[in-house]
Amino acid sequence: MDIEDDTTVFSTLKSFKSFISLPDTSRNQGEPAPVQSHVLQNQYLQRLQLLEAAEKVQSKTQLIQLDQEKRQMEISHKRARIELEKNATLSARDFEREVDRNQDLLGRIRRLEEREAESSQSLSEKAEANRALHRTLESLNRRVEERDGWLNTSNQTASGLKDEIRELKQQVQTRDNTISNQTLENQGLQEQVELQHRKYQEVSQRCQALQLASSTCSDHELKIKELERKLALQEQDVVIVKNMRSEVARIPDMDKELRQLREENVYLRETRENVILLKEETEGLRRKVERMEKMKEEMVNVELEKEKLSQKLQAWENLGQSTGLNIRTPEDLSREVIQIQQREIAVKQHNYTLTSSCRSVERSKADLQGELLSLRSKALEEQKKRETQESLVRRLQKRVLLLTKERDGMRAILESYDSELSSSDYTPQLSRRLREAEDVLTKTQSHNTEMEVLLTKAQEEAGALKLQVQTMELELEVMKKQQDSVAEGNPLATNEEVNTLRLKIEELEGERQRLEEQNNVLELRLERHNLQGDYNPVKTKVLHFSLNPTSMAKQQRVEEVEALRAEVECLRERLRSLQTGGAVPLAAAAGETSLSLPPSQEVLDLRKQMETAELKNQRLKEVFQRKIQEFRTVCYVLTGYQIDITTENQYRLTSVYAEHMDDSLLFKASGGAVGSGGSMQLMETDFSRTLREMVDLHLHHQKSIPAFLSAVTLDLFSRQTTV
Amino acid sequence: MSVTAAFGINSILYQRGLYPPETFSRVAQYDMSLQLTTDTKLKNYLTNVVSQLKEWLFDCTVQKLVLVITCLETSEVLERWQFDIECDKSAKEISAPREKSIKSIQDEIRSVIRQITATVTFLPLLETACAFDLLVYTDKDLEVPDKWEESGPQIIDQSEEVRLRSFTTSIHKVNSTVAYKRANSD
Repeated sequence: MDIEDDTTVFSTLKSFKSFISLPDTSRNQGEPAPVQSHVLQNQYLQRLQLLEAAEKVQSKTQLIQLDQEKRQMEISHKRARIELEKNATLSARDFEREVDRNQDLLGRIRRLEEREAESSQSLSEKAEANRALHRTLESLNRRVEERDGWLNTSNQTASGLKDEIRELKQQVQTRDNTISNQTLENQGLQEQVELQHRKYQEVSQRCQALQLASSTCSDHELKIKELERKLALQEQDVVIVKNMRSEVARIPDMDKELRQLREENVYLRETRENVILLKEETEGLRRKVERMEKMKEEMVNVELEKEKLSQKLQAWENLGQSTGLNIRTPEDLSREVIQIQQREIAVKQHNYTLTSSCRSVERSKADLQGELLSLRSKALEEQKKRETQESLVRRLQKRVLLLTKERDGMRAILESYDSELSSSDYTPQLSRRLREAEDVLTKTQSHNTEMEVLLTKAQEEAGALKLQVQTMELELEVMKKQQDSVAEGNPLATNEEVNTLRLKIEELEGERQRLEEQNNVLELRLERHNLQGDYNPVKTKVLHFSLNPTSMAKQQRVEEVEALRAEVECLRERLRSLQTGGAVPLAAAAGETSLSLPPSQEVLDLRKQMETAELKNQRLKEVFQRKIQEFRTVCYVLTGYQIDITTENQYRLTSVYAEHMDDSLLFKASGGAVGSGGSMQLMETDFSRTLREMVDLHLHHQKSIPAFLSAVTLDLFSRQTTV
Repeated sequence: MSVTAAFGINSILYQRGLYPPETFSRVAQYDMSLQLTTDTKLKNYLTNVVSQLKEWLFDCTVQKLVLVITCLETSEVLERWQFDIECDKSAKEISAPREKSIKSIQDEIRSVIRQITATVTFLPLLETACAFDLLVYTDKDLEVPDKWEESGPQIIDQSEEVRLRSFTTSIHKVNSTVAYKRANSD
């Protein structure tokens, strides 16, 4: 801060100098002088202000410094105080320690005095011994006078003895030292023991507190569980109460319903009887109704018959009026009927005669017709014969003409040849030519005759056919005439026959169409079935290889299924055994079943976990045992007592320095656990009877068990270690 | 002819997935590559059946050859491949020279096998485990040889039929149809 102040001071000085120097240059300028002087004045004022500010700052810094120094002083004061206090405490402690030391030293002094006494006693004893020795010396001296030689030895022995005395003294001193050291160590150890006791007490207190807390926790948990159980029970009770309430609420409704139902019951019983009666009545009525209906139908039929009969009667009655035969009674009718029958008989006779005559006439007619036909045929034949003969005649005439022409031609040739012939000999050639011509002629003639024969045959056949046709036509006409005649005789019968025949034809045609359709349908079905694989068992059969893949696959499947079922049953048995037994049957089942499944991963993991847990448990047990053993040994070593728990809340303490193995102190914890505030009480034992004084002092007066125990150890120790 | 039948059966088995495809090996025949099974049991069965079939074909006593595919769980027939064989007995006796060229026969066989492959597209999937069987429809009076036995026709319950191509050799005419169980979708 000072440096900064100095720098500001320096800077202000510099600026001031510069300001002063400036007017030298400004005088030269002149015009801007007043402005510059203003500026300079401002600057100067600013500089002054800055200086003031700097001073202020400086003062402030000084103040701050002083404050800091003051604080530091205070702090140092405090520290000094604290140190003084510490020193005071330390000195107090030192003082205390020195006081203790003083006391110790006083004690030591006392002990030393005692020891001195003892040592003085010992010294006195030794002095006595010395005297005795002196006496002996004297005796020896007496003897020495007799024997000078023994003086030296006796002196020597005396010196040796003195040396021994010195050595003894040194040993005594060393022993005293060692004793002091051991006492010091003992004290240290006792202090440590005390510390340990304190710690042990603290630890025991904490243990007690923990046990108390755990017991309280367990109690609380028990309470909580009980409360939860109570809660659950209460909830169940609440639910039950609700149900009961709902049920109870339903009871008045139920009562009402009951009453209603009872009333209905009574009513229904009454009505049931009525119903039965009514049913019987209805049945009777139904039967009556049926009978009445039947009667009605019969009546209707009867009425119809009656009407018919009445109509018939009327017709019969009207007959007389219609026929005009004066019929009023059936006798008249019968008479009329008889008359009619007689007339009929007469007419029939007449009819029969007529028919017979008719038939005879017809026969004659037919005979005549046959004769006619034969005659006509004959006539035709004769006509044909005539025609043929005429044709023959014409042919013959033609032939004749041809022949005559040939003859004329031949004659002409011959004449020509004869005329031309002079003396040549052309007759062989001519004759040859003649023969050839004759041959040609004959051939042509034979051909001609054959053709004519064929013609005649054809014509005869044609004629025969014509005859046949005509005869057939005639027969047809005859048949038609016969039919007509027959039809005139019985027109009704033929019509009926025709109608029936037509009906039959139509029926047959319908059946045929139906059968054709069925046939088509069946053929389609057959085709389809053939496509699907159907076959005619009469003509075909189906074969396949015995060892075919389907049967083998089916067998395999069956075997697989059986194997799976067996496995499933085994697994089920295992499951049941597991559910009922647990670990033991598992091993048994695993050993028995041959189809044992590999243990599942979970089971293996659980087993491993179990094993690890068991190992842990064992290790923990071992560790606990070791620790307990350690602790017990440490307690035994440090406290000097072996504490055993004989029964609940009873502890037996045996001392390290006990004279007999059976010497033990029994303590009983009363009032529950030890940590919960219950006191330990000493029980009577043989050993405790011997320690009655200490019991009285430490337990009854001082009420301190640790003091008692330590007193007992000290006492026993002293007893053990006294020379 | 019987060789054709063997190839046809093999291709059907391959296409329908009755046996795993890795058990089949490719073979060149009729100018196309066909699948033949390498499974020894199956091969033995097929050779037995085919040799017997050859005899019967020569005697013209075989009327139909049917390959039936049954579902193992329900023992229902799912598919039926039917080959109707019409034998010209007179041709066999006369032993006339082949009027049809071998190439055309091969073409027809090839087309049949291609058609078998194509039918797989519209046949329903065989989802369950299946096995097949070969049935032969013969004349009633034929003597049943060893290892063969009579069986039923294994007709499908509600079937759809599809006619496939037919092919003719000089002696036989073979019509093929495939019938499959209608898949009820309600």
